[in-house]
Amino acid sequence: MATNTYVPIGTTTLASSSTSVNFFGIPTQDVNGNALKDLVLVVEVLGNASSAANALVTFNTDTGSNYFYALMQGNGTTASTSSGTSTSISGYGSDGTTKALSKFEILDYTATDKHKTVIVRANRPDAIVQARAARWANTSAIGTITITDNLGNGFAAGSTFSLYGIAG
Amino acid sequence: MSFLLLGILNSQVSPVAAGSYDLLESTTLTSSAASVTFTGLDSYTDYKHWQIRFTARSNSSAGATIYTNLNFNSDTGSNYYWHSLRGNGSTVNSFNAGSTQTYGRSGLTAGSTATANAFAASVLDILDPFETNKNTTARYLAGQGEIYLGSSVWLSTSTVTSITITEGYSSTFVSGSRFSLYGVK
Repeated sequence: MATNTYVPIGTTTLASSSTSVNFFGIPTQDVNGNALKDLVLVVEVLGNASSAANALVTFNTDTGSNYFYALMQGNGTTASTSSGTSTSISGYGSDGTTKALSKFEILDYTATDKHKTVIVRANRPDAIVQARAARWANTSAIGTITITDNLGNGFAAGSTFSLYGIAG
Repeated sequence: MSFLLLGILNSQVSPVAAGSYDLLESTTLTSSAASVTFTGLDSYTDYKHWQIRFTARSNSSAGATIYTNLNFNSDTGSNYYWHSLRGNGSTVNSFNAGSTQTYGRSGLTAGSTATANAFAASVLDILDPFETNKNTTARYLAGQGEIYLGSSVWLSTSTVTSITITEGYSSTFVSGSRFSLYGVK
C-alpha cells in the first residue's frame, strides 16, 4: 500500500539577519507512525550587503574534522574537482546579491550501523553549478542539523531553510 | 543572533498535496544479494514518474566506489545507452558506453575497500515509465568518495513492469543495503 511521504518537518524564512539556523529534535517518524529514512534539506541563502554567505551543514553539533567530501563543479569556463576532510558539509554561497540554492539529500539518517552519506546539488545561477558527495564519519542517528554562515556575517533576511522527511 | 527552529512535524508550511509523492515499496537486505528487483510495477499506473533512493555497499574488492547497473523488464539484450560525469578529487571525467550495452547505470555502491560503515547514496529518477511512445530514460545523482551524475536510456517503448538493480562487478550487496521505490504523480 502506498504511503504518502516527503513530509515537511520544518521551515523558516528569516525575518532578520541570522548567523545560523538549527533544526533540533528531528523526528524519526511521521505523524502516522511511518518510519522516516531520509532527509532533504533545501537552503536558499542571501548574504548581507556585499558579504558572502555560504551554508555550512553540521550534524549533532559535531564540528570536528569528521566530514569527507568529493566535489565537482563548473563555472562556465572550467570543470574542476576537489576532495578532502572538512568540519562541515558545504553548499554554495551567495555574493550578497544573488541567492544561492543548495539541496542536501541525507540518506538513512537514523541508521546506527552506517556513516551518513549526503549528496548535494548546489548552484548560484550567475556563477557556478556544483555536485558534491559527503560522508559524516559517525554511526549516530542525526537528531540536530545546524546551518552556519561560513564567514559569520549572517544570512540576510529572506533566506529560506526547509527540512523534509521521507519514509522508506 | 541565532535562529532556533523546533524540528517537529508542524503546520508552519502548507502541506504537500496528498499522494503526490508516495513510498511504494522498500527493501532492506538481511543477507547478501546480487540484485534487487521491483516487480509488478504496472499496478502503479496512476503515477507519472518513479524515484528510487538507495544506500548500498558491496562485497566487491574492485574499488571503494562501484557502479550499479539497471535493467528494465528483465531485458538483458543490447538495448541500453548510458553516460556519466565523475569528480573524484583529482580529475573530472566523462564516460559513456560507446555502443549499446546490456544494462544501463542506476547509481553507485561502496565497495569492500571503502571505509568501514561507509555506504554509497544514490537518487535515481525514472521518467515516464508508462509512456508507450517514448524510450524510457533515467538519471541519477550518486556519491561515496566520488560524485557522479549519470543518465541511461532503455531503447524500448514498452511499459516498465520491473526494475532490477545489480552490483556493477557481479558481486553482491551487503546486508543493510536499502532500496526504496517512490511514485510521483
